Amino acid sequence: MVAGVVSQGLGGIKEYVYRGLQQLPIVLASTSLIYTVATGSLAHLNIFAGMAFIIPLVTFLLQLFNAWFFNMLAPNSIFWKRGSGDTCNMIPSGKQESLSYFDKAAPSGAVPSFWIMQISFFIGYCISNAADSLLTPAAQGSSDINHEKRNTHAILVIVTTVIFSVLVLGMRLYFMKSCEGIHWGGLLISFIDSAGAAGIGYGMYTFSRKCGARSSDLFGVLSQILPPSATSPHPVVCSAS
Amino acid sequence: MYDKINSFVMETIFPVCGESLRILPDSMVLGVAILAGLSMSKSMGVLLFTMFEFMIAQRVLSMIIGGISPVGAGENVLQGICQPGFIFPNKMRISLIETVGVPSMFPSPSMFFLSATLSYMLNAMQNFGREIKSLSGELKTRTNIAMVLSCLFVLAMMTFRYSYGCESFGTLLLSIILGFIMGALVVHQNITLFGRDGVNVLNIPMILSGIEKGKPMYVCAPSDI
Repeated sequence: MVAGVVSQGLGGIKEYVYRGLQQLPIVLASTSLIYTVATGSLAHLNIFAGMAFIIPLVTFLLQLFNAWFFNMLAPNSIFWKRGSGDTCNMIPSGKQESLSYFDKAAPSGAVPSFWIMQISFFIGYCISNAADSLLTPAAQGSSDINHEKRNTHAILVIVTTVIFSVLVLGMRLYFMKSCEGIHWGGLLISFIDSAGAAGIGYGMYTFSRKCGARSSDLFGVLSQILPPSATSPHPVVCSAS
Repeated sequence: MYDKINSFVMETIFPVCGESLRILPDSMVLGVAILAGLSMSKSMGVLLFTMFEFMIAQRVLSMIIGGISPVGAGENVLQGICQPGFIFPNKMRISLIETVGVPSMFPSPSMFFLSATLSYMLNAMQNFGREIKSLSGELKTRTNIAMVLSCLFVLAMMTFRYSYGCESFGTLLLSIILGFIMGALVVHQNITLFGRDGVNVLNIPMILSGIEKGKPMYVCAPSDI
């Protein structure tokens, strides 16, 4: 009985993670929307705007360009095409009768997919944020212990972000490889385009950084820095007894 | 041209928005879990724990209220758009909200969870009023904006579920009120359990007075006494 419950639980987790992975861009964008709404966070607003508007538009234009350009070089080739179907679709069609964990994708449009572009944007933003947290110098007169704590946290965030990126991209390529390109050529173009999306993530971080470190911080590392007014020597007031 | 724009809106924008709103409670749990894992932030970990607490609270409330007086369902409660959680292409559905919580008519799992989470975050921010006042005016503006946006978002979500006939108006309204009360109460519980830094959703530095740090206070007096 215990084995049955454990098996059912593990199966549930596997299905939850699998579908969560397929819909990861929606999951991350929705979470950022909720954080924007509930805390007025500029960092989350930028992530939401990037994932919901900027990246889909850029991806759509890239798909049009890739289809036009590569169709001239190799007309109707699978070289520049990506797979489609229920394994690749972020919104389920409800038409499939059986469930398959591995892709059975048929060729459709040009690379890149919305999925890889949106996730690359998110990773780009996170890595930029974590690196900036590490590289921001300590203010004059600030506590060495606090600076050390901040650096340790920033390194930890970089490590977890890298692990997350490797895991997510690895699972995507293992389970849904053809969604990013049927041929190795398509995969290569997808990776080049997704590097561009990560660059846009960096750009969005730099943009939100202009509003202040506290506003652009996603992980609560830079937010912990006290403003100069808080670290200046306190005035002492003495009154007559 | 009009037809193309119309079909783009109806076939691309609407399904994505509908799906995002439908999976919202479950996507929030997964999203917060990812952010908590990435940031290693205590407040995000506590928020994740709190979300599970809301699901259990919804299960308990549903059992109590359903036992006293069964509540009628909305007219389209069984339609796909009203069902939270991740749906597979073969229509298999998996939802944490309805696994840890329970599918019920009252309180509505989606609305109760959403309003409780928003209320928790807003109340947690209000608990840092002293810090917000001291740090900058910008943070004060942020909290005011958050209050207005949260109310508008709950209203939009309520309209969405009511217009699709997922729940009746009374059920939605009472689920929201119950969620707001629950969120406010859990903030105080978490402060007791995890300390103030456990509910620091803005991740701002905390101001601790000399008494809180356990340092002695000195009073200056004229030297000729």
